[in-house]
Amino acid sequence: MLTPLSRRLDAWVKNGLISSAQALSITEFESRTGRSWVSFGIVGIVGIGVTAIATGVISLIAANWENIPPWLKLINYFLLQAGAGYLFLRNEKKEGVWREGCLALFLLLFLAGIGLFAQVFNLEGDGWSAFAFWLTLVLPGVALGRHPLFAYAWTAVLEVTACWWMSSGGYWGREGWRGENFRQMAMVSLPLWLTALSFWTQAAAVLSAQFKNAFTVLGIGTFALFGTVFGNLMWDAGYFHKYNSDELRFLWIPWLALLIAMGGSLARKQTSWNVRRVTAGFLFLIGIYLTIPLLTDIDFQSRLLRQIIGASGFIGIAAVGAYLAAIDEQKRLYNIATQLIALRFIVIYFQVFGSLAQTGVGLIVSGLVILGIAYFWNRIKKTLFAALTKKGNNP
Amino acid sequence: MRPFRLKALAAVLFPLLVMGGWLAQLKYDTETGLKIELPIRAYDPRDLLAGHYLTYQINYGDKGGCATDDQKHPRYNRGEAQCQCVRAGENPVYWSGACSTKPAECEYFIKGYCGYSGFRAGIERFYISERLSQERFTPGEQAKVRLSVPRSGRALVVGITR
Repeated sequence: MLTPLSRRLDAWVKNGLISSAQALSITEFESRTGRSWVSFGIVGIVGIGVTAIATGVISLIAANWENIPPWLKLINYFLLQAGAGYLFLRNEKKEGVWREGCLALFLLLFLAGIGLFAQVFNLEGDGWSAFAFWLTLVLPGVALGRHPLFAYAWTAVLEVTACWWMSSGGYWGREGWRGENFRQMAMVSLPLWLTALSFWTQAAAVLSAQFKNAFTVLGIGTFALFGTVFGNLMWDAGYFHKYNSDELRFLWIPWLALLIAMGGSLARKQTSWNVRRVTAGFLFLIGIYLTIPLLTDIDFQSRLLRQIIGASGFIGIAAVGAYLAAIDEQKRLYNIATQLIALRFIVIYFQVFGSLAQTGVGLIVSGLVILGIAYFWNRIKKTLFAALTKKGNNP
Repeated sequence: MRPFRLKALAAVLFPLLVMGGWLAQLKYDTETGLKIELPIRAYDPRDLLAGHYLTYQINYGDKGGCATDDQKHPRYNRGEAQCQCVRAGENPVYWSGACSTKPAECEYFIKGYCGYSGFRAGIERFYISERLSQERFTPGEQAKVRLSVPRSGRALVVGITR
């Protein structure tokens, strides 16, 4: 049976893209580096088998859970945890899915362990504290993961835990507001601190490449995605500053993080100057977009005007993001940014002509508008990307 | 050649040792702490994703020092640690207030904060077995929670007397 790689190599040779010798070299390289092309069918069947066994074991334990004495549960947990650790150590020097799977099992079991301890000793917590503890416990193990998913998952859980930490602290409580506001601003600035950390450590071997990538992507991504959406909502509402005069006392924290992240971007000597300054400008734009409705009165007496300015800001930031992705030749990011712009145009349509969608004709018109935007976006994205990169690469 | 890389060995041993240390501390606190019983009220059996457990409020009297001036509502303040000084006997709680002002003779105390429903110390939950939960486990009027209070102030639930 032909594997997907060999099938593709054959097609490339037939079409004169590569020579037979090159195809042979590629096959040899792929088999030497250990990347096996396992059929999805086999993986699926094995997956079903493993899931069935795991579900059976879990059901058996769950059905008899109350009959198992706590000390036996704890001993079994430690045996399982140590066993998973040993399995990982045995395969640590190897490459491939088995090594990463053992590591993932070892790290995830600690969450189960924390839950078991809580049950046996009747512990109660804020929830976030269990995850914060888990994040600390598994950090050395995560650093050993070769698949980028480890660093990405760890960073994503860190961001979610930070949100949880902020919300569980009684944010709406009237007392202790200084601590709560400090907490809120520290949480808001976390993606920026991560971005700054990844930028400032570009040249130094402080962080692994995977952590640097995860911090940059999830740092800027979270700030850009949630920041612009939240900013747009604030522009649309136009009254946020009236209720936030006290809370904004700690606004200097995210701004400090923002300036450090911008400085880090400009200091990245490995990256082209164009990318560096556009990244810094991109971050600054989002910061300004978010801060204006917090600090100033944007009640223009006209909701439409606020909506237009808010939407323009959103589209402008997404456009700068798309430009940044294009000059850095990040096709996927470019597609996401331009899709966001297209999506925002659809939202604008519904904001203005939303009432029309309640009628049959209105729905047809809405559908046509959406299709038109999709068609227009698809037509121009390739041309625009080629113009921006000046290399003619199709996204 | 070493069987394992030192880094990998450390990454495996570190969390295992921390979990082991945590277990040892919990066991030590459960065994050596001052054993007291406090009345509970407002039971709420839960059976969500977290499993079968019972949430309740502990009756410290006077909202555990967390009442507002009008004595009607609890005073919310997470920023300041609140303490309940306890001793062995019938009425274990003999002093309530901010931990920073607790009396010198207060050797055993439960540390917590003033929440929306009064004093909270993370001991308002008790896991019950599936069999008991099916029988609609409800503690009686005289139900009490059995606690182990170590000198650190981090009290642990040992059981419930129905």
